[in-house]
Amino acid sequence: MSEEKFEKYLRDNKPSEPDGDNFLLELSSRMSAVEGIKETVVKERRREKSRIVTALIVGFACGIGAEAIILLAPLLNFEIAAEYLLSLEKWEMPVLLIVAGSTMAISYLLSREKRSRFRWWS
Amino acid sequence: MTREQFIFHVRGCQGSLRRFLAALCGGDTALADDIAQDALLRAYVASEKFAGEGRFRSWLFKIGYNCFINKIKASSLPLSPIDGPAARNAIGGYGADESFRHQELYLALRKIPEKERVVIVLHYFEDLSIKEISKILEIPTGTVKYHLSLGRNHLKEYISYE
Repeated sequence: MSEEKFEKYLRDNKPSEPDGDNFLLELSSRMSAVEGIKETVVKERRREKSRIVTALIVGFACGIGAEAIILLAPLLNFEIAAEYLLSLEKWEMPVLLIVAGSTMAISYLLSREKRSRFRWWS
Repeated sequence: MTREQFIFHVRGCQGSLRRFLAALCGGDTALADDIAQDALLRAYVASEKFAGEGRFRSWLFKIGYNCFINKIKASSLPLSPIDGPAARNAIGGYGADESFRHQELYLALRKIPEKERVVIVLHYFEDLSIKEISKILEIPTGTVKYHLSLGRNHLKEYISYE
């Protein structure tokens, strides 16, 4: 009896549901903000995807170009290019340092851009 | 689920979600509404994943409960005292007798363990079955019954219902 009475007491005295007009208005404005964020995220993902695809295509094209030059080397006259390459050999270390430094700088800037969503090249 | 469909579903069950969270927060409706907003936004973002299996309301309760756990437990945020702003929120809009009973009920609910509180609130306030509660809390039905029984016994010590 006591158990049933207590269960009845709990069911009878449950608080009524609060009014939802203001709550829904606030929710609606927050949902609009979330939609804005969602759109930005989708755009950013699409941009990242296109960057990856572009990098892949460029890399593939460069690879084909390099392969073509290597395979066609016996047929082509590389004397002028060879002269340039030989003169560059003297500057081997500075060139290496410049290339390495540039690569590190670009990597750093790209990682910063991803974190802060700041487009450094614009 | 489109925005309109989501709002349509939410309109029907936002009241019970807020009442559920208010009871979990020991009557602090401001805190409960904060958690409810958070839970509904999460539900909206994840609404594409809602496959329509089970009830939308149960799904919202599950998200709401997880948000409550995150907010209260992870930040170890203490519930505000019932005689402070929470009490004014809790008793607003009711008659004196009703307010007193709700306040007494909320006070008692604050004193019992959280697992017992959530089971009591879902079963007696929101009229959910043991099976539905076990799905929401992801615990076996036997454990739900155990918490329900313990919760009732603990509540009886704090409520004058005779």
